[in-house]
This record gives sequence, C-alpha cells and structure tokens, in this order.
Amino acid sequence: MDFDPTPEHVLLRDSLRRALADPLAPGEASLWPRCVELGLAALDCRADAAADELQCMMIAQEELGRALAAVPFVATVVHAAALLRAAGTPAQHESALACIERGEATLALALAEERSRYARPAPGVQAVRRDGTWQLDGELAFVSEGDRADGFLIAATHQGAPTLLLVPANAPGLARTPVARLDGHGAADVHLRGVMVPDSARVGPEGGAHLLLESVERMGIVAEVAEAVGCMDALLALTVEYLKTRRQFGRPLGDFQALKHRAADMYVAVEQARSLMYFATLSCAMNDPVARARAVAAAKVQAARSARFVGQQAIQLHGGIGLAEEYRAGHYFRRLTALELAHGDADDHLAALGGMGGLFAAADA
Amino acid sequence: MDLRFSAAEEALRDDVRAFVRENLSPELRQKVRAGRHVGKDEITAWQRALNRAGYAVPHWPAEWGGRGCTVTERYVIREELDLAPAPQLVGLGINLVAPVILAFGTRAQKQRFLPGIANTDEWWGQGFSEPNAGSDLASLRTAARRDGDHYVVSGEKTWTTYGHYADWMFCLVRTDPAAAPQAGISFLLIDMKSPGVTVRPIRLIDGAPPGRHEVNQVFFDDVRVPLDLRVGRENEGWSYAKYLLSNERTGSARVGIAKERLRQVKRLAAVDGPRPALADPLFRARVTALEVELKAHEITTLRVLSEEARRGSHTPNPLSSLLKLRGTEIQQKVSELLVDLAGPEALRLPVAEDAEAREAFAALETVGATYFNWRKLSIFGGSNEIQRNILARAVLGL
Repeated sequence: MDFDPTPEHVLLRDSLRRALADPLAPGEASLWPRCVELGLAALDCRADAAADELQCMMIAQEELGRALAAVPFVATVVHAAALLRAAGTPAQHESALACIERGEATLALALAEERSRYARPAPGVQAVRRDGTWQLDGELAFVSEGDRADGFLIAATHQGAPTLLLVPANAPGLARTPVARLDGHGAADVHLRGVMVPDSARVGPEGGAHLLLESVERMGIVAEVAEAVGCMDALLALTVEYLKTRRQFGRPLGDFQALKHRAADMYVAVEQARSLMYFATLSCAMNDPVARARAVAAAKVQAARSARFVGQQAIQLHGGIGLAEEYRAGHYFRRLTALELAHGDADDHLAALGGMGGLFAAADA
Repeated sequence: MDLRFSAAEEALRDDVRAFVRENLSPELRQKVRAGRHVGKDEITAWQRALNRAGYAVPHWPAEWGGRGCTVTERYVIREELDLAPAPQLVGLGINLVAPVILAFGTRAQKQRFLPGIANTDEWWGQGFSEPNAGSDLASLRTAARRDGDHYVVSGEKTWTTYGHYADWMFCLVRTDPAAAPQAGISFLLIDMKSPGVTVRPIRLIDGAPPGRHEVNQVFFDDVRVPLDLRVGRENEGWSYAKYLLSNERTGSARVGIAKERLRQVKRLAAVDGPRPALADPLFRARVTALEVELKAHEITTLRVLSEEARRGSHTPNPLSSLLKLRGTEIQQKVSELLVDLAGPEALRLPVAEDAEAREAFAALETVGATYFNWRKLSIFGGSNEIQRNILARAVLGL
C-alpha cells in the first residue's frame, strides 16, 4: 500500500503548477499550449492504460483545478484522444490523434444528450449511410469545449444504435453557436444539416459507440473528480487565509469557533473526496470492469457532495465578498458546481451504485 | 501509488481468518454479531487465545511477548477480528497503558505489569475524566500528596469503562496544585483493591442493568499508592497522557467494526419482512450513501497508515482527529440505519436471553440499546468538537 507520488509525478505536479501560475499574457489565447508543452496532450487516458499514465491524468487534473485553468484537457485528451486510441484506424492515429498530441488540434465529444437533464432536450443526431458516405442531421446541445474545437466526435444514431464519427468543425452543413458558461469554460450548440463525411471518418464499429463511450466517459468522471479535488483544495486554502486576515469585532474571523469548525468540516470534506479520487484512479488500473464502475460512481458521489458543501461554505465564510465577481472564491464555486453536475450528479451515481449492489457485500446469514 | 496490501500482509490476513475459524465459537460470534452482552470471563478467555496465537500484543517488542509488527500488519489483524466479528479487544491495558509503561516505565514496572496485560490476567481501567474535567481534562483535581514513600490519593474519577472489572487503574492525579493546569499532573498505577477505593456503576440510556453496565464512578478516599507505582517523572504525567492518546493514530477509525455492521444492515435489509427495506429507494440510497462515506473513510485511514508506516515515529498526527471524527460519525449512522430497520420495536428493552426465543427479531434485538449507547462515540476520547478544534488549529492554522 502506497499513496506517495513518484518523483516523476512530483515533477509533473510542480512544473504544471509553475506553468499555470502566471495569468494569460497579452496575445496568449489559452493556457492549453503550456499544458501541451508539459506532455498533457499525449497522455494515454484509456481505462486500461498504464497505471502510471492514469495517475498522471489525476495529478494534472488536480493542478488544472487548483489553477482554474479553462483548458480542453478532458474533452480532447480524456475523451476524444482515448476514443481514437481505443478504436481509431491507423490513418486516424496518424492524422487526428497525432495532431492532438502535438497540440495542433482540439476535439470535442458531442453526444446525443439523452442522459443529461441539464441540456435542452435534443433529438440527437441521425445518420444515414449512402455509398460509403455518412449524412448527419440533428442538434447537439451544450457540447463541452465545442466553441473552439477543431473537430467533433459525434455519436450519431444509425438503425437504432450510435456510431461514432469524426467530423471536422469546418464541414459544410455544420454550424455552431457558442454558449457562454458561468464557469468560464467553453461550450457550443452544434447544428448539423446534411453534413457528409466519408466512412473513413468512422471511429470503431458501426453501432458500436455505447461500450466505447461508457468507458471514456467513466475516465472523464475520474478526471473531473480530480479537478474538483484541486479546486476544493485551493478554495479551502483561500478561505482559511481569509479567516486569518479578515478582522471583525476586533479579532480575526478565524478566532470564532463556529467558523473554525466549519473550516474543519470543509477540510474533512476535501480529504474524503481526495481519498475516493485515489480509490477510483487506482481501481481503474486494476482492470476489473465492475469494481471500476463502482469505484468511479462512489468517487463521483463523494466529490459532488464535497464540492457542494465546500463551495457553499466557502462563500458563506467569506461573506459578501464571496459573491463579488472580481473575487476568486466565487469562480471556484462555479467551477465546482459545473463539475458536480457534469456526467451525472450525486443522486444519479448514488442510484447507479445502489443498482450495482453497492461497495460492500452483505453479511452471510 | 498502490491500494493493495502486500503478499505478506494478505498472508497474515489469511492466518488470522483461519485462527478465527478455529477458535471463535459460533455462539460467541453470534453474540457479538447481535450486540448482546459479552461477559468478563468470555472476553478474558478470548483475549488469552489471541495472546497464545500472537495476536493480542503483536505490536509490542519481542522482549515482552510481541513481535514488533508494523502498523499495517496490526491494522490487518484488527480488521479481520472486527469483520469476524470477534469480541472487541479490550485495549485499556494492551493499547493504552502498556505503550506508556514500555516507553517511560521502570524495568520493575515492565516486569510486574506487562505479562499480565498481554495475557489479560489483570484488567485495567482508565482514570482520566472527572466530574468537572471532561473535554477540559487538564482541569482535573484528584490530588496525590506525598507521605513518606507513598502518595495519598483523594478525589473522584468518572466514566471509567470496565472499572468494575479492573484490578488496576492508570490514573492522572494532581501532584502540584500550585503549578499551571498541565504542569502539575502525574501518572500513577493504582491497585483497585487498595483500601479507600469505591466503584459505583453509572447506568446509561442504553438500558443495561447494573452488572452488565459499562462505565463507573471511582472514588479515592485517602488511597495509599507506593511512589514506585508512578510512571515516569513527577509532574510530567500530562506528556505521558498525550503520548498515550497519540499512540494509536488509526485505532479510533474503527473501519472494520463499521464495515461489519454495515454488511449486517445490507443482509437484514434484504430479507426483513414482506417488503425488504432495500427495495425502498429512499432506504437504499441512505445505505449506499453510507457505503460511500465508509469507503472514503477507509481509504483515508489507509493513507494515514501508509504515512505512519513511512514515518514510523510517535509524533502526534492531527489526521488521527480526522479519523476519529469520521469513524464515529459513520458508526453512529450505521446504528441509525439499524434502528430504522427495526422500526418501533427498536425500543424493546433487551431482557436477558429470552429474545433468543424470538428468532424473527433476534438479529435486531439490541439495535436500540446500541444506538443509544453509541452516542458515546462522538463524546469520548476527545469529543468531536475537540477534534474539530484540533484540525482547525493543527492542520489549517486557525
């Protein structure tokens, strides 16, 4: 048993923290190139990747959360690149995947939003196949990082089952409407009207997107749990600092026991989420699909609950300034809320975990 | 990073499991599982069996009958025993006073006491809390004044677990009334058969009758204690008490106990009545939510353990406060689930053994008593509010 990062992990963490410390320079459009330079775009984040790579994913996400970096790491690397690695053709590996790894392109995963109650109701995308060409029609709402993506991996329904297709953002018939998000990340509504792509754009077997998607979405959840832990850690530190410096009634706020205890409870909440972040990450590496599904659901339940508690209490302990747009605490709170609601909230995952029989076996009679 | 126990630790787990299979009688196991009263003789016999197998004091040095096992091995042994479930190890001697005697006692004290502690030949009680010194332990007033080669002890201790069984008590007494609260305290070992010692039961809201009770008041009326039964230096008892409390960082986590109880909840909720409670989505959600909390707590415990294994020292770790806080909250929530499973009958007072005749309810017969009794968990060993103070100060710097 060992929870210590390796020297390589420490190096990644420290370099990333340094790289993300400075705000965007004039003319610098995104923090993503800094991440690419440190190797994030080339990480293999498939569920069955080497344990070491998954731990790098976890560490990277924690730092991205700490820095509130709005970069397309999950969309492009944890989702899209993993799909291409798992099911892409050699040609797709040489083109799209290589572009991602070099930081030349970002992709967004655009699913028919049937599982998301937060998106506007969307009929999804219908695909028709004619003479080796796919025609796509439909609407995709609230596609994460879809505003700037160079291409989309679209799960389109064909004869009742979803097929994954790689569609360039500039394909004729594809239009997108950027959606402003409260957490500073990008999103877009994507409209497809008679978009034509060749069969060589297909990723994985026809009608075979479900299994592929289930696996990468699960890894996306692990990544988002880690980002939430990084966010919470930074927000707790910010709050504690405020309690030490802000004075009322002639003494620091942190002298009041009611506030000390709240801060202690926030700390407990962060550490519980961190523990299940380790649990989920390390369980993924154990290659037992059922155990993996349970561990990820459990981690999401804990992270979502901790995120809500820590976010709300951070604002409460700050008082009015916590609500000010100019102050960072509220930015963390908004990002935590986004992460909490993404890919199934605490209740969804609680129900799913219960349906899988929970984490502990019932006692023998 | 790796979540798994080592092959050697897994082998140890198998050994303990085999030991339990061969040595824990089904009757005693059932009794523990149902939360029924386990008597002094049964506990003594069980702990002696543990000692023969090397599982009672594995963490002690070899010279005194242990084998200096690692903190992780000790965790594995404890978890397996708790999952069995075997009777809770009464650790007042083995885990609380013995490490203090080992670290600060004289050779004579070690020879006199350690073998009897290891084999549960002598029972121990803890004399820390007083009627006016609970969370504020340093305000204790039980006085010990010198009289030749003896101390003369007067005062009152309370909440003394198994004080009615105890042959000896390790006791914090005030030896310098003029000093600052924490400075004038000494650590004495008191023979409970000494003239002037009176033990009275305290009845709790769990309904246990005297004789099956847990905690006591202990009165000292000019009790003479030889000077050579003081551990360490005079007036430095507070530091030994702190050592005693910091000794076992993961001990208060009680992961195995919560796991075993929660597994019982799942068993009972699947079969109980015409409509199993687990079929009710609200109840199932509460069970699942608690499983998540318990898993998070378990992993946190393993994190602390792995840190402890690496640092290997006795420096207090504020994270033990986190484990105490979560461990007790989770156990209390499990006991709530059991009460809710039992429904109104949870309030049935368990009477002697006759509940065994009522098979249908037998598994739930003591859940009410346990629920009421387990409110103690967030109060003793430093109340959970004290633990939050410690976390705020030591971890967050508030």
